[in-house]
Amino acid sequence: MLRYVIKRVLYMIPTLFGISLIAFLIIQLPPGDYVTSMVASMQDSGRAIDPAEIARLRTLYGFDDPFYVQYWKWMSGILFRGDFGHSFEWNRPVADLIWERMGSTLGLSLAALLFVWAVALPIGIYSAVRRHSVGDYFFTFLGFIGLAIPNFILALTLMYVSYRYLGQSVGGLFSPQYVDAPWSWDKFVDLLAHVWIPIVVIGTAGTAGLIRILRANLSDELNKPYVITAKAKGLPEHKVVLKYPVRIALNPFVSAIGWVLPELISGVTITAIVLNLPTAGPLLLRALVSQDMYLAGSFILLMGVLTLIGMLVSDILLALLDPRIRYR
Amino acid sequence: MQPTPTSREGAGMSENPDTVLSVENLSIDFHLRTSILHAVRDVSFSLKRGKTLALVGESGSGKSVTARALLRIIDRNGAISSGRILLRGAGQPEIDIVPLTERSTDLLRIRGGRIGLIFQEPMSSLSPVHTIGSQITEALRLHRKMDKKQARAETIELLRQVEIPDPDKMLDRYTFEFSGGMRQRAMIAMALAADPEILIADEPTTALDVTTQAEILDLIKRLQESRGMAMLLITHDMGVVAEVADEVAVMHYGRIVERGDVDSIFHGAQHGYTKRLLASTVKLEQSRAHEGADAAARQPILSVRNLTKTFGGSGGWFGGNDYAIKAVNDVSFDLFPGENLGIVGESGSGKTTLGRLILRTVEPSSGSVVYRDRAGTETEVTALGKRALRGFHRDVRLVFQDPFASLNPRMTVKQIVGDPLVVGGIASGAELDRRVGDLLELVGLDPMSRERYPHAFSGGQRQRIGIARALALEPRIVIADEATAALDVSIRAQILDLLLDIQKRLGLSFVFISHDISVVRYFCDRVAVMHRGKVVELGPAEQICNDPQEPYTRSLISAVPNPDPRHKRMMHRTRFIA
Repeated sequence: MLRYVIKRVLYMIPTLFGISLIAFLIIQLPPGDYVTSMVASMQDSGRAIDPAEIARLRTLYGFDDPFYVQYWKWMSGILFRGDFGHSFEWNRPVADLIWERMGSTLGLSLAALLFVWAVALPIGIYSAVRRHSVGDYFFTFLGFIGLAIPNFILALTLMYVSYRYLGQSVGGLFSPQYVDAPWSWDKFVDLLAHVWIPIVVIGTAGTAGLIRILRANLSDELNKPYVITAKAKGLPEHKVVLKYPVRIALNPFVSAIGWVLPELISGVTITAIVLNLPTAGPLLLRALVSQDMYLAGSFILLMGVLTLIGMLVSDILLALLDPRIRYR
Repeated sequence: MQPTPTSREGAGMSENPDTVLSVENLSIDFHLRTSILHAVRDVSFSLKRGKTLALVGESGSGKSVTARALLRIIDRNGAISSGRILLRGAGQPEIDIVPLTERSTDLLRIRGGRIGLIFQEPMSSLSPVHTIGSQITEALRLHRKMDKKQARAETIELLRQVEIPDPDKMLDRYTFEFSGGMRQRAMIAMALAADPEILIADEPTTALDVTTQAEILDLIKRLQESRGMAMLLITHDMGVVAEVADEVAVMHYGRIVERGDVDSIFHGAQHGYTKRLLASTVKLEQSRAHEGADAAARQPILSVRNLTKTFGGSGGWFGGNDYAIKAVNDVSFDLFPGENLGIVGESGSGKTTLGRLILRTVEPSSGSVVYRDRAGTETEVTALGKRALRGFHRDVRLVFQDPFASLNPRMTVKQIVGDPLVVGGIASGAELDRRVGDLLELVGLDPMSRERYPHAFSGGQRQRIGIARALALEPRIVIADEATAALDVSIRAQILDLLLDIQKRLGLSFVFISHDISVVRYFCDRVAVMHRGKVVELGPAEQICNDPQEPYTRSLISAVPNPDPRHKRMMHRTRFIA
């Protein structure tokens, strides 16, 4: 088992290298650089810029260096000094900006994941065991609605409901008076009052998907001979189902960890913008638009790392759950 | 639910003090989408202490459904429509299992507690993600109120009783670390955990090799005798019935058509179906008249020399497994035109790999395969390029084991059978239609059925389709890998006769790979016995079966159940210790 984990961690190193290279390549791909887009926006607002000044900025930022030199500067900074570079637009170190956003992003991700599990597991089991019952059709219907509604519409609807009928301030994670306040019980309660909307919005599609997967998997497993063995042993039905087939049908649940983290950063950007959430998505979008290359690159790199960590965690959990994987 | 006397033995049956379970007029219906299927109709039998009743019939005859109904494990769309299942125990009141509800504690106490079940698939009947020990301990804790420590000790004792070596270590192993026979032993240990009065064994050895089968049957028989259990044995193998059963009930289309003690069934069958079933059982002693066996005078069509295949052995990045397995080890034989060569062996002996090496769907590690084509030119198959290999595959075809998995369910029979012709660019349009019709006729199928899909055919008919596909390109050699293993006995005999008939007409050579020695004996001129990748003995079928030279062959032959209760062979077989 330990051997397996070490092996997996070692495999991550070349993968990470590849991701960093691709991340840097992507942010280099669009024509021009931050200076070009800065010049463009300044000209839009009618200010003339001295060409000498532009050249000076280019040299300062190192935009004239060849690709590999720029890459090396960036990577060596991260590896040796923990320095992700400097954000041109915010004029602050990238690391500060990212850590600010990462905490809320991770918190929200985990909450959404728990929400997905808590809802999908019982409904999925129910749907599989009572297949083609009224309850199954009801949840199937709900599931398809959840899959079909675009997230931002759901977000807008929930915001309206929350504002109109619950009388809450909407958007963000806190009411205005608590945003800069120190942590207190009231602030926590305020957070809970706000956070359910993004959790529900982000979790709905995933929940619906997982219910379908669990229902299909479990329906297959329920007909396996080992279920009959367990029944013939004299176990009551609910114990039979929970102990044997559910255990095996759980694999996709655990795999979900792997994709839920990157999904939350990149996939729910629109939701985050609609709900005005202080997560990484909107910041990444801004950085990409304004060609703030170190900020954008670092986000892409970090997303890669998060994906890898998510995959690692889910693989280790899978191995714990299923001995067949462990021994292979 | 009126108690009508239906038993031929008269109404005195229920008064027999040894009767532990009696089934009276049991009927089970399944509600299908458009109709109601009467899977079991008016079935009555009784189980007696220390005795074995064999329920015999082909697949679909309702025997498994009947057995599972005793535990009330029936698929959701099925239900017992009438009848009684009376369970009697020493000092306990009689219980009728039929009216018990699914959740009643009485029923849960009977399941596993008083009636144990073992069944066919040793690969999938145990949970792959729980240890063997935990699955057995669970049964103990359910029925015998033991604490964890006691249950663990008892589990080790049970595993010892079913002769699993190192039971204290095997307890914590997972099922996929066990062989098929070992799993079946663990399954038996689990069924016996709560010391039930009745054991239901549903095809307990069908998926096992002959030698393993003999050991498992031996074990079940001994445990049954020492515990005085009643056993309901469900099987389609008349050989097993003759070796193990005391009484036999023959099921056909959901009814018991004949019932009696084992000797009277085998030697004085009354019902036509029983007679047919016995007649189609291929006996080891029986072989067809071999014609044209002057093969030695002719040139071999296929010569295999020193063929070897090694799996594994190369280390990965992080030091993979560095041991190698010789799946096929230095195998040599000749196949003559018009000859049937049988390759027998247990699972894992390398016989399937050997078949694939000849076709080069698996690349041999070393050795040579020389094929002599129609013009007499010799080709070294192992050296052929991709294009030339295609020509070789035109002459050497394969028939698969599983008639359900080997046909694409989305292609019509015409597409399946005609596919080799289309791929090879040999026929199309009306010509293709005619060829497919001819082929279907050749294998005894109605050419009109060519537009139908495989699901509309039974297992035996599907195997015929597979054979027609193999014959489409007029091959000279057909490699049949367990081609009859998935079929019922009567169908098996039909398919074997069909293959022999086709061979006579087309002058084919067969390489017939099987674990079933009786089938090989019936079908083949010469037999190669494989054991751990090597051919241990090669000779005429007659000699291998009647006068085996090697100790391994001798043990293999002696483990084949004999379908005659007066001459039980398995119980005093020779064992091979390697």
